[in-house]
Amino acid sequence: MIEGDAMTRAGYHFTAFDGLPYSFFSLLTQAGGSMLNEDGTAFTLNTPEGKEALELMKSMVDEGIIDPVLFNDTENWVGDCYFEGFCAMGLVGPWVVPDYAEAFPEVAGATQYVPLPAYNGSNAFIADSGWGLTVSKDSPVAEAAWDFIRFAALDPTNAAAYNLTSGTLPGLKANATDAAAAELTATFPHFAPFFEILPNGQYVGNLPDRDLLFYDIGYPHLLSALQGSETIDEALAAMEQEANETFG
Amino acid sequence: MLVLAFFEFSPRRSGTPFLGLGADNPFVGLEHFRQMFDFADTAPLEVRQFHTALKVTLLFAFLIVPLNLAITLPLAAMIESVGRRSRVWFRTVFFLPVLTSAVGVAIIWGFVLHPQRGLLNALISRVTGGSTVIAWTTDPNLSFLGIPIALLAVSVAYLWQDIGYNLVIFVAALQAVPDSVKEAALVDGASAGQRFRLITLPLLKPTILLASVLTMISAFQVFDLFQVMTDGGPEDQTRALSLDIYQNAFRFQRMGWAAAVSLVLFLVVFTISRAQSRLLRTDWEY
Repeated sequence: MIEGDAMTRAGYHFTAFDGLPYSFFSLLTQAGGSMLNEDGTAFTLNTPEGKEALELMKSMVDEGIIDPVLFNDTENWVGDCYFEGFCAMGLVGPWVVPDYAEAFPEVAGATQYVPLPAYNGSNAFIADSGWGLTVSKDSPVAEAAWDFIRFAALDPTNAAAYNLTSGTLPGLKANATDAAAAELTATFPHFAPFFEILPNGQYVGNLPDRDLLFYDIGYPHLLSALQGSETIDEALAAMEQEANETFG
Repeated sequence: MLVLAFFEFSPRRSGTPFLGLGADNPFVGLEHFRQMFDFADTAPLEVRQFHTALKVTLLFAFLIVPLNLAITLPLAAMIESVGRRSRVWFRTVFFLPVLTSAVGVAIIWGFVLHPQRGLLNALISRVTGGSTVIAWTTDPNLSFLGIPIALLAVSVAYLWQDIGYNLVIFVAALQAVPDSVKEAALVDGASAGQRFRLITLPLLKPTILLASVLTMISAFQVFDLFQVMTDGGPEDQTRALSLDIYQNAFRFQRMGWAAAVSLVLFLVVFTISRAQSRLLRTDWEY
């Protein structure tokens, strides 16, 4: 919705910290590109596929779907924006719905998760691994810790119990189908669309520093390109250079 | 902090049993400080961000100190000139924001400056009769006299919260100016303005020094307002050194680099405070 020269309500909010990099990396993949080179030693963002992805995102801004100056991570963050009625749709994780449900029960009740439309005939998307368990290689009880992780995360029954208790999507492929998936969907109905798209997911890759790439490199340059402070070529070149620096 | 500044230290990597230093967290000597002098466009991201943060912090501090003094000194003189009861009331009102949590202040100013629901835009809309939607804290193209509006927005919030502190100091200092000196000037025919400029102001010089040094130090340390109001944006226009240190240390785990930047921040504050002390030093007391 536009009043005067300014957007007062946005159609689709994808310009927050997570939404921008995820949208870009997924569209880049759908365009036929890849985030990393074949041996995973360098980022390949400043490519024709990267440009195609960013141009598509810019076209969404140019067509008035969202104003990235007024709607980003600092101002009108996607959760606030959606639940307060300033955005019709938003790209955000499923944790947001229960988080806002108490304050906005009617909006939460009417909220639905839907898969994003295919681009270039592809529904591929990039995602990292979610919450993980790690063991320090210096730990004096490393083997015992790994035993526990195998028990908790690799045993299908235990892993399903964890998902049911914590309301999380399964990390084990075996639990994303058949009875385990049906039980999870029965408990958490909003999981249904996620199970539809899970097969399209691609591992983000072994990144030297995921947060640095997403929040300090990807987000600022993508936002600058959408806001018009950097050209698409400048943003892609800067992102690739800075991302490759993270390999050290 | 002193030790970490000389190591490429990250808690994500394994070091030796001694404080996690060494091994994958190697000793790098003065390398961090050498990198800080790399002004090439191809310098690493954290180095370019440090340069930006240093500029932002210096601009913020040198904006805040004169503005703070320009507001608090005349205000203190006005409060000092009213009746005793009113004086206590004014002092309390102006000091209350100092006691408020900085995060609370940032959130409140966030509401005031919100583009769609903010008080300020609503006020402008009411006055102009149009629809005003200005992104005070997120539009990278807004500036006033070359200063980003987002930085000015944080400055206003900081001044609102901080002026009560200096105000109380100045009111106390004004009360300590001997009546006999002011009365002698009055007998000599000095006007109110002359008495303030030629008698009160010179006698307040040590207090002005104290207030300016304290304000400068606290302006260099501001973190909460930047973190909550802008998170360093838009386009690093409000990336203060304290925020840069926090993000490097705790978001990206570059503790060694963050420690080196902290050391630079300390040296900058120390140098500027010393310069202020020399500039405003007096050789007499009253």
